[in-house]
Amino acid sequence: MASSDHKTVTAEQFLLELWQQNQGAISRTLMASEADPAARQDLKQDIYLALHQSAERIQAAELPRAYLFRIVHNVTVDHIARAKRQHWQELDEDTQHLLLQDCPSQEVDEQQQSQQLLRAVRQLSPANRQVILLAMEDLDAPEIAEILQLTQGAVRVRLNRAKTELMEIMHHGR
Amino acid sequence: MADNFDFAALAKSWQQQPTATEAPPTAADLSQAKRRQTEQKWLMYGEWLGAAVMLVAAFWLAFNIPDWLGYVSAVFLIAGALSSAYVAWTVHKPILEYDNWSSSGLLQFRTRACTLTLRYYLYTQLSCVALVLFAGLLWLMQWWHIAQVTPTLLIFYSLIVAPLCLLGIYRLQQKKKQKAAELHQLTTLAEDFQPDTEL
Repeated sequence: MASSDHKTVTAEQFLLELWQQNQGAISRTLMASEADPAARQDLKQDIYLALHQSAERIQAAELPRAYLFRIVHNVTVDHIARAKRQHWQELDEDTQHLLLQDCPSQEVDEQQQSQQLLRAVRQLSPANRQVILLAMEDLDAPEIAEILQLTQGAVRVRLNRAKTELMEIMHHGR
Repeated sequence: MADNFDFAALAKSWQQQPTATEAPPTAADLSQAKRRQTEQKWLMYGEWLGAAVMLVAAFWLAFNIPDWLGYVSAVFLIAGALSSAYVAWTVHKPILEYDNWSSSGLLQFRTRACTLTLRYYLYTQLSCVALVLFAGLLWLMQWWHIAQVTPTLLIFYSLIVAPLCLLGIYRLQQKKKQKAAELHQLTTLAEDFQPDTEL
């Protein structure tokens, strides 16, 4: 979204539009970071509140999507730090139902792979999960570096480490 | 090892998985989240009020019992009030600008705040122990006629300060256990998020 396009809309409208454009990625981040549906709802509210409070800066930013993801991931990290339990290990019934709903039989295998992938992502260490989630949303190294406020070299190192961990989990389990 | 991984296919599969429609939270959801932040602020104001009460009590003691015992007691209370107010401000100061932080910086901040709180609990416990001992000392001085202790001071420290301090020591011990577990989790997370060295 070019910055010239959003001069006429209010910061709140701009945020709403940005949320809608990225709602798939936000939803996947939430599912990967929090297995408990009620806690996931709280996390979503916290994220939106944080976005709401930074709405004007997001609108003024050169890369609003990077700002959005930075806030989403920082609030998620804060949520994990405050969580008394580790929620991301198992798929809750809601998520399993969501992944298998209206699913023709020939697609069952694909859906089971999705479940396996989600389980594996949830088992990653939080820092590796963060970088994998961004990479799986097709963000490149400079964008991820901007979001995580790391150098591109550090992003490449972390991404490589995360891919290795993910592969180990998917192939050998944990 | 990671290079052999078909990450592009995995990313495609990831993006194609069905997701719930994440409609932006409603006004009611937002107000619920804001309420949680407000509760946090009220907690801070409550602790500030506690500090203010300690400060008032200190001045009351200094003006009503103008001898060395009164002044020492007042100094104890003032020190407690200042440390309570400072830690309440540091710990509850909300982080509203998540866009200005890196995850690593955020976790380091949380770890520092948690360490500070833990230290504050320990110092407060020690202050409480000192106050209980001080109350005991007042009784000893009264029994052995070492100094003239006013009944007001004895009653204030024996019936109000000492019981509250004993309760405080017990509650702080419980809080210390919780905070220690929190600190352990934060330290592990902060280490995990420590930026890697470039290759």
